[in-house]
Amino acid sequence: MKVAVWLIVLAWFVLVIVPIIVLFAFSFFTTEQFRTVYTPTTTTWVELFSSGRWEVTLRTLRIAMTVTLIELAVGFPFALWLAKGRVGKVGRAVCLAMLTIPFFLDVSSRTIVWRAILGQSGLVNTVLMGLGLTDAPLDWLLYSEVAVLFGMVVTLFPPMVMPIYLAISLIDDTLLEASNDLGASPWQTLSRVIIPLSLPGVMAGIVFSLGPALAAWVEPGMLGGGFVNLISNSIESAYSALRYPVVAALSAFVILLLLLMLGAMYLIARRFGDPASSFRVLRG
Amino acid sequence: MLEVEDVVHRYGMVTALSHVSLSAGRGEFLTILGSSGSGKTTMLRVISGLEMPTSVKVLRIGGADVANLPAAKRNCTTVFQNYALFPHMSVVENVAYGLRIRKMNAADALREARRALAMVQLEAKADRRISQLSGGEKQRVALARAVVTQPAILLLDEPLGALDEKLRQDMQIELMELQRSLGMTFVYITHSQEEALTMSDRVVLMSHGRIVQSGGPLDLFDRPESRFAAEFMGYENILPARLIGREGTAGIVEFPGGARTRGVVTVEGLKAGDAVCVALRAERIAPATEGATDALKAEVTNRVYRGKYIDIALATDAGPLRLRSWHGSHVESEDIRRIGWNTNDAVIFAAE
Repeated sequence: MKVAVWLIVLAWFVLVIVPIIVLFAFSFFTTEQFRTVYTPTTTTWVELFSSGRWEVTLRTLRIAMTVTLIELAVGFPFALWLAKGRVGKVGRAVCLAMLTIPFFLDVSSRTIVWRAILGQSGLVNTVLMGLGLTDAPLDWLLYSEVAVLFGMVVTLFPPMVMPIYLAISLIDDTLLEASNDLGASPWQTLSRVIIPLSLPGVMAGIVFSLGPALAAWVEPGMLGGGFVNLISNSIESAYSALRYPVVAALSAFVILLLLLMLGAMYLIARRFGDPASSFRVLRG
Repeated sequence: MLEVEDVVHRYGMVTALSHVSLSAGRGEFLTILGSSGSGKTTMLRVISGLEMPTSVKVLRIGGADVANLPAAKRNCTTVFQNYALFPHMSVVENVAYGLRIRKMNAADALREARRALAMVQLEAKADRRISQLSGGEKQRVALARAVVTQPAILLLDEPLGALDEKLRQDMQIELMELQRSLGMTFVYITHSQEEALTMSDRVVLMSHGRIVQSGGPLDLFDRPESRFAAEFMGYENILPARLIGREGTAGIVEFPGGARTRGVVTVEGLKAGDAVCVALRAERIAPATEGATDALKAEVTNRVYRGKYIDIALATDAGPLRLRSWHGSHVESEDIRRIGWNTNDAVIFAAE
């Protein structure tokens, strides 16, 4: 038993922690004429903050958090309905299959389709103009922040819904009946029993949604059309310029941001209930 | 306190309850007894409001019509079979839940909850986690949580089913004492005739969604009115016979072999010539002395040692019978030639 735990910890250390440390270390080097200079310095980090990447960082944060909040607002009720609502067995299986199928397709191929739908002469604009609702095509539908947000919400919906759905389905129905029986209204049951007990799933959903949103690269590239630059685009351009320390610093910065936001999330979750105790439902 | 009239409940094609009516008075301990699938749990869920019946004529709790009220608005609480304690709350938070829902302030609710926990001897574990409790302790927490809001009726769904034998017997006594000290109406569901007989003021025996018989524990134990009731209440010997005469509740029957015996008729409307069953408990049969009236000739065919007692199989003029002898009595080794019983112990009811 103990051996297994240590093996897992070791594997995790080698596979996850070591690369992050190497990454972090790289961010303290510089490049000169496409060659990495292995002398520790903070130049890269100073440049990072002085070169106007602040704006990019803020935009990335804003978009990632907006996406996550939208996911949560739509995903939680959906997961609740799917797990405890009046859905038949067939309905539930179909919904779960629909949530899984997007994983079979590459993100780029799923995203590029939206260009044809949202573009100036795309499906939406054609229909709107055909119906006489607008005279000119709506240009903010594509190559705008709205389009990027929309693309990311669509892509990250399953990763948000799945863990919440699983956490809610683990809640014993008799707990909900007991709450009802003791006089609780549906809202009280939701806030006092379902939400606290589904916190592990909600936290996982946020991680699975916030992480990819912070590092999103396909959606801003394809649906932002160069107008919506996020950190990932900076990383990519630094990478193609072979400026590895900048890549490292930016990536490390994203990881730091993620940790900060998760820490904040944990503090918020504590107000809803003891997050540690809600994991007890998993142990039964 | 509780009035239910003519409940019908169907799950699709299956009729779980068919025209069931029952009532319980203030402070009464009513037990609904039945095997699984008898409809007893459905009945409880209909009373609590967790199940809305297909149709019901009258459903009142404490005089208030609750037929269309949701479970949350009914003045009754349920002790669930698997306890249904909230795993993310401590023991005392669980007990205080119903009070907090009713907007009682936190300090008062916790004080009330601790008092309820003291009632079930668990105040020392008020701050424990639910997962740190044993089965019996969880049972007590569930009880405290259900009574703390002082409902008119407490509904208990096989609450002792998951406990071991010894603990079950202790909890039976504790439950009875709790019920008496609170003066609360208890509706108790069980499949165990022993639990029903020990605890109840009145027992309702259910089978296939209908009430088979109801009455005091003694009535059910000694005066079953049908073959099902007799078998469920543990009658070992049920013999077919024909009623040949009756006088009030006393009846005389003739067995197929020609032997005759007397017994108590438990159902109205039986007349001479009707096919009946005679039920006898094995421990109420005893070897008869030579020349005793109503004694039957018997021959021992088998003896089975069962620890506390010995079961003796007999071939008699009335048919095969089982006689139970407490360990250590002289019947154990002696040969048995004739057997007899008290007329009061032979119960006569209609054969199906």
